[in-house]
Order: sequence, then structure tokens, then C-alpha cells
Amino acid sequence: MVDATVHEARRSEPVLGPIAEVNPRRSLILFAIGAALGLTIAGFGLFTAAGTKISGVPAEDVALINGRHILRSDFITQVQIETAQPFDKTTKAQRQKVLNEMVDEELLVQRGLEVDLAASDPDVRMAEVNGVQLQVDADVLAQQPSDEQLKAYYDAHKDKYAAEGIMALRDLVIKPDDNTTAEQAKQKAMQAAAAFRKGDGGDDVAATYSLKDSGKLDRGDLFDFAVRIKLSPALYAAAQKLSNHQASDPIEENGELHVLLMDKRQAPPERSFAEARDAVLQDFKKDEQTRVENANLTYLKSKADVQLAPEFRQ
Amino acid sequence: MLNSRSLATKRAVSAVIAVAAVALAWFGYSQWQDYSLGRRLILASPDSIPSQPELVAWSERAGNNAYAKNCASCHGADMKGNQHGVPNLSDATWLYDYGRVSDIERTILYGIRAGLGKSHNVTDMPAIGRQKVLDEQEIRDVMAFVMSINARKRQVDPAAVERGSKIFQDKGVCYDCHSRDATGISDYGAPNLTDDDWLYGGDEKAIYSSIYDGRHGLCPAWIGKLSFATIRALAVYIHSHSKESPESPNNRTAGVAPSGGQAG
Repeated sequence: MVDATVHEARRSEPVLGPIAEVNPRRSLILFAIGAALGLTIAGFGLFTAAGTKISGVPAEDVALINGRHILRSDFITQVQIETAQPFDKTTKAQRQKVLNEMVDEELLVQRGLEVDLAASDPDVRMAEVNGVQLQVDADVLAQQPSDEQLKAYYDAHKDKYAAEGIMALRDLVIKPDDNTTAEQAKQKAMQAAAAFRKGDGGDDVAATYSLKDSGKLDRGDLFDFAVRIKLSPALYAAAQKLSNHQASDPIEENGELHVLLMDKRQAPPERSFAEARDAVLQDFKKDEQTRVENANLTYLKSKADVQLAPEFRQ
Repeated sequence: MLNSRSLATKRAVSAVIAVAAVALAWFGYSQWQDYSLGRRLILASPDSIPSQPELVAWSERAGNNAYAKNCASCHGADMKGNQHGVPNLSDATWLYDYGRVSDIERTILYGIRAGLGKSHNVTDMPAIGRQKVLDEQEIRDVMAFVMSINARKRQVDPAAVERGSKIFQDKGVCYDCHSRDATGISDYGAPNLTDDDWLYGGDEKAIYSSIYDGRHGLCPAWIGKLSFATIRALAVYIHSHSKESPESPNNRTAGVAPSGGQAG
């Protein structure tokens, strides 16, 4: 009878009992709630984190093909390109057709990787090489160097930022032969240069001292770059030092003596940093690009097992 | 006495636990809301989002943070860009495409000349002077032509304009990207040369520099750096602070007159 009364009294109490009293059942319930909450939060984080591999298709994708994503954004762009309509105005059939094509494409790409097309197809190889280079260059291309960096680059490469100069140049030659010793040829060349410096015309000098036009340069005004292309580096370097009505000393090249006569010289106008800034930026990035591409190759070589035939080992 | 103190302590602890539970529940709910709105944002067709106020409001909040952290350093807090090649995002002029949410999202995802195959990188403005395609006089003539057709009126020599027009349509091959009428082609990111909207200032020096040295504007790709929901939110945020191009397919039906993009 007493037991029944106690039992009845307990049943009428709230499940968790008065808060001020110790209650093992309440502890268990709170513990279970906490554990369930913790597991829920952990599960939520686990299954929604970027890159989580789950059986469903992530919201940002329209398909997963062997675990490879087809992005919703790429799909929308493709639908718009193929149908030439805003995505919202396309029909379900149009979208389905594009999706099927994208799935097919992904399958073929994966097959290409499986059979290692890059090993045999030069176009695939080239595309992969270009793709990797572009990835390596991406950060450099997107980076904006400071003005200080650009100015330092400009100061170190000032020659590059001069505009083209103009020169009207004669390249006269004399070659030692049966009738003219090397010493005589040199004398004539020096006399010709001296005569030109005194004010004689180029044609007169050539006729008087038996020098011939090399035929490499057109008569009249030429841009520096045109002269650079047509003359050897040594001759071009000598030409660059000449001003109006100056002549070079004889320069020996391939058994001939050259005398350069500068009829007219308009020196390359220098461009200030402000004027050349855009070109400096491009060159700076190009150099950076070369640097990171070389660094990437060095890194790849350092971790690769490259074995060369004996005759190519260094 | 001791019992009443112990009771008070237990009550205080219970109250703290209750408040913590409510806070946790609220936090969980807001996280869930955030997640589900982000998910809805990604699942929605991008160009339909501007007509969904709840998604726009969420994007405004998330996009504002992401813009301040990642975009404002170049485009400016006011989105107006600068005259050193960074475009204004707050107007209706778009170098690429039309300024729809899907267009903006594409640019954010893959960037412009950012080194990814899907970046906008069909073409560059070539260094026509530096590569000796045109000589000094021809560059001056093309400049005269461009200044003559541009909305910013300037004094130019009519003979130079005529010569420049021929070079534009022939030897310089400028028409190939900028189109025959010089209004630009947004598929290439080639700007309209007839309006007064300039990326590099639009003075004679800037135009000369564009022709002589070319241009190679860049925007980084954010795929892999920001979540897809953040990228979508950024696109919606930028869209809501700008205007779509009058040429946008969304505007064509509304009968708005077309225009073009920003030039050098």
C-alpha cells in the first residue's frame, strides 16, 4: 500500500523533477540531448564542407561523373551559348540536351586520361603544357606590382624604354686582294674615315679611296631597329656611337674592313617612367613570368627521376 | 542557511544552462538559415535571383563582406574603379558580356586573363606600335580618327582623321576586335571607342599608350579561393549596385537602346 502511494507520488512529479534536486534521469536526458546536438553539428559540418565526398550532388554542381564535378555555372553558360537565350528562357529539353553533352564530354575526357592520350597525341601534349604554364603564371599575371617595384625595374632597363632613333648610315667596305695588302687597305679605310670627318661626301670618299658599299643598308633614313637587323652586332654597336657626320674607325669583319659613315643621326628619345609605365608593367610581368616558369621547372626536375642517355649526362 | 545558498547556486547554474541552450539553439538556427539560404542561392537560376528579395538581401550581406575583403582594393569601396585600367562596376558599361548575374559570376569565378582555360582571355590589345605594325605617323592618324568619333569632342586634323579611318579599317586591323563602327565587341572584351567611358583616362597620352604598348588588363579568378555561395552572393551584390548593359538579353525585350564598353 505504501509502495503504491510512493509510486503514485513519483508519477505525478515532472519528468526532470525539481531543478534543485539531484535527479539521475535528468542527467541522462541532458547528456543525451548534448550528445545528439554535438553529433548533429559535427555531421552537418562533415557533410557540407567544401570538397566532401558524398553520394548526393553538391548544390554548386549539376552532375558528378566518377567524382568529377560539372559546375552549375559552367552548365548555365553552356546552355546560354548553345541556345543563344537567357538561361531562364530555355526549355527543360534544351537544358537536358546540353547536360547530356557535357556528361558525354566529361566521360570522353576521363577516357582520354585513362588511355593516356598525352603520351601519343602532340595536340593533347601541347594543350597540357600550355595549361600548366598558364596555371603557373596565373598568380604573376594577377599580381599588381607597386610603383616602387616598377620604377626600380625601369631604372635597371632604361635602354628598353627609349623610342626608336633614326639614322642615315653608309657601310663602306674594302677587302685586301692581290693589288691591295691588308696594311694598304687599312690605310685607305682610315683615310676615307678622316676625309668624311672633314666634310667630304660619302660617294666622293668611296670613289677616292676605292671603298664599296656593302649593300646591306638602304640609302636614306632608317629606324635603329632596321639597322640592327641588317648589320652585325659589332657594326651596329659602332654605329650607335656615331653622331651627325662622324665616321667609325675601320672595323674588321669576315676579312673585310668596314667604315661606317653617319650622314644623319637622330638619337632615340628617352621616355620618362610616367610615359613608359605601361610598357614597364608588361615587361616586369613578362620577366616575372619567365622566372616562375623556370622555378617551376627546376622544382619539377628536383622531385622527378630524370635519367638521361650517357652521352647527354652532364 | 546552507541549504538555501545551495539552492540559489543551483538555480543560477540552471539559468545559465538555459540561457546557453537558447543561445546555442538560436546560433544553430541562424547557421541553418544561413546554410539553407546559401544553398537556395546556388540552386537558383542566377538571372532570376534579382527578383527574389530574400536571396538579394542575403547576398547583400554576404556579398558586402566579400567585396570589402577581396574586391575593394582594386575596384574601390564605391565600385567606381580607377583610370589605370580598373573598370567601374557601378555603371551599365561592361567589357565582357552584359552585366547579368550569370555574367558577373563567370568573371568572378574564372577571372580575366587569370591563367585558367575558362578565363576571359580571347584576345589582348596588341602593342601595335611596339610591334611595328604601324609607324609613328600612322598611330597619330588612328588617334585622330578615334578622337573624332568619340563622344569627348576634341580638335583634330580632318586629313589625319581620314587617313586614320582607313588604317582602322585596313592595315591596323582595329576593326577586327572593335568592330567596323568602333562600338566594340563584348565577346572579346573590346571596348566601345565612341562613348566617353575610358579605362585608362582617355587623354591623348593614354590613347597613344594603348595603341603603342597595348593593354593586358587582369582580374584574378576566385574559384577555389571563395565558396560558390560567396561567389554567387558577390555577383548578386555587384549586380544590385550596377546596371545591366542596355544590350543585355534581359533589356532587349524592354526596348532599351544599346551602347558599348569602356575603352582605353
